[in-house]
Amino acid sequence: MRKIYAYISSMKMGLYILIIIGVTSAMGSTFFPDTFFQSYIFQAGLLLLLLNMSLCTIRQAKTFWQTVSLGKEKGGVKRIGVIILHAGIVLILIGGTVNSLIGQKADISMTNGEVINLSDVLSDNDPLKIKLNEFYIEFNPDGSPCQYFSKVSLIKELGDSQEFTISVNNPLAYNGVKVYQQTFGYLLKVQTESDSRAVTKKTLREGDVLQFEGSDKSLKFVRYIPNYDPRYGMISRTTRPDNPKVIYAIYQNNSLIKAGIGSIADKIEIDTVSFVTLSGIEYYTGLGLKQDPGLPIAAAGGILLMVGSCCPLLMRRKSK
Amino acid sequence: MILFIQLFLYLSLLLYTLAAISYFVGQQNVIFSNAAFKISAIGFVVNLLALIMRILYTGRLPLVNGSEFILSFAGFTVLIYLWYEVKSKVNSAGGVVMGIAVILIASIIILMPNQLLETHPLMPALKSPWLTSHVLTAVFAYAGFAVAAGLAAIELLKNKETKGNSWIYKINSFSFAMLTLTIVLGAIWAEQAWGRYWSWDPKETWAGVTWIIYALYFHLHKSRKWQGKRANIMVLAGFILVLFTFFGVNYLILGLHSYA
Repeated sequence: MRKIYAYISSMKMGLYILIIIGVTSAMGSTFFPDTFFQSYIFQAGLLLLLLNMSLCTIRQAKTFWQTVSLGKEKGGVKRIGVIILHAGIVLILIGGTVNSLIGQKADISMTNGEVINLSDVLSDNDPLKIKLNEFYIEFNPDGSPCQYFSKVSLIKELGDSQEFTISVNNPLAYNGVKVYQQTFGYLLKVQTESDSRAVTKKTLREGDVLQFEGSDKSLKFVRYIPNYDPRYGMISRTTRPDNPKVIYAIYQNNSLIKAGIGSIADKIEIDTVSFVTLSGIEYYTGLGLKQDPGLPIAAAGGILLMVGSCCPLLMRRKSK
Repeated sequence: MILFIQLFLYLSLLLYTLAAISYFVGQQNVIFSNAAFKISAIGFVVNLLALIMRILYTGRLPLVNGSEFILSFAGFTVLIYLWYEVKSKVNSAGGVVMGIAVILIASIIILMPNQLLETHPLMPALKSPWLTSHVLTAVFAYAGFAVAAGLAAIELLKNKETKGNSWIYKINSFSFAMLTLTIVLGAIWAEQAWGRYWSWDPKETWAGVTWIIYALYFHLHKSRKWQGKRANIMVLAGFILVLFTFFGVNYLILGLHSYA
């Protein structure tokens, strides 16, 4: 038993594990980038590294403490640096393990004014609602996006709310929940008229198909192009809506009969009695929600890793 | 401004080439040997001027796109080498290190000829205070690894143990610390931007693999049989991984770092 413990906690074992993780990571990244790192075998390798490094670090710390108490320690800062560096990696691995065991994440998309109950998305969460007040994009002079903003309100159980502005690199952090600006998209607002029936308003996402009651025809919202330029084809010239166009397709019994480019306010004739008016475009925001109880542990590990790796440099300067 | 950037870029390529030739010829000729250091130093100043012109042109530090990174990488490689030569008074690796600088500058001209001559606004993901520290530490790390690889290559060619060995270890210690900072600072930034501090993105994975090979180097270096030829081969392999992490991942594989 003692032999097994000695081997598992040895540097030799740690180096073998590192070599295996390094080689398999390189191969996994090249051949199976989407699946390899989530595989049980790779996760088991990381856990084995955690076990080995934890035992190895504890042993190093013990030895260091014993030599210090006996007054025999010589390479002070360097030894401490090595122990801190190893402890940092251990904490990062623990943080990652905690996250994979009890961490949660979810993606939500919201339109202006929409309210989502966070406890429906992240389980075991305090009753908390998120409301999107406004999503908007700021543009650079050349029409490229400068920043994406989601102005939200967090509504607590008793109804009192707090406002936040989320943007890329500036997530919202509240009671262990973090909300990130992840993506955005377009919604097409349309009005349909068919025969003598009343006008109906609908909202479509890219790819949605609009069916017409009593007709074998349908309309598909293919894509919104904010700055249409024939030279760029189906790709928008810039994200800024300088020349907004809607690409649509009309189907009859699932067969494409027409594809067209429409402007906002255009009225599209589906057949002699059915019409669709392209009323407007609205943004939706894509937010990433995360609850990672392992994050503070991993963050502490990251700090220790940085401090530990720089200790030998400080020591060399001091010893001169 | 663009004209100056181009002028200093080509001039630094010319000076680094002359320096590399002078270092090689200087192994048998003292005049060339003395001139090599001066040409390298002038080359570095010209490289620095190209960087300053780029700063004036874009209004930000030259740490955003691939060509800016390589220009900084080449400059710091030469600076670290010059510092090493002054401290160690040994110049046998000068030709190899200046050769690396020549390849780096040439790669800008061949692979990304227009990148330094145009400027685009930063995309939202890059608008972060972590950008400077993450990329600057990467420049220091890569530059140090380049010099260490140059010294290791000469050691291997000489096929004998020399004074260079302890310098390789010292420079690698600095570069390893910088690479560790690069990875951790990048992880902090990724957590702020994407909500994941480690995504197994190709760049992260290959930076991790590079970190592992240098970690193995430091662990094995304690053992005498890993201090000579084997250690130098590891240092060269580590630098090949560094180059792959930059060029291979940027130009062969798409990922979160595909803008770099």
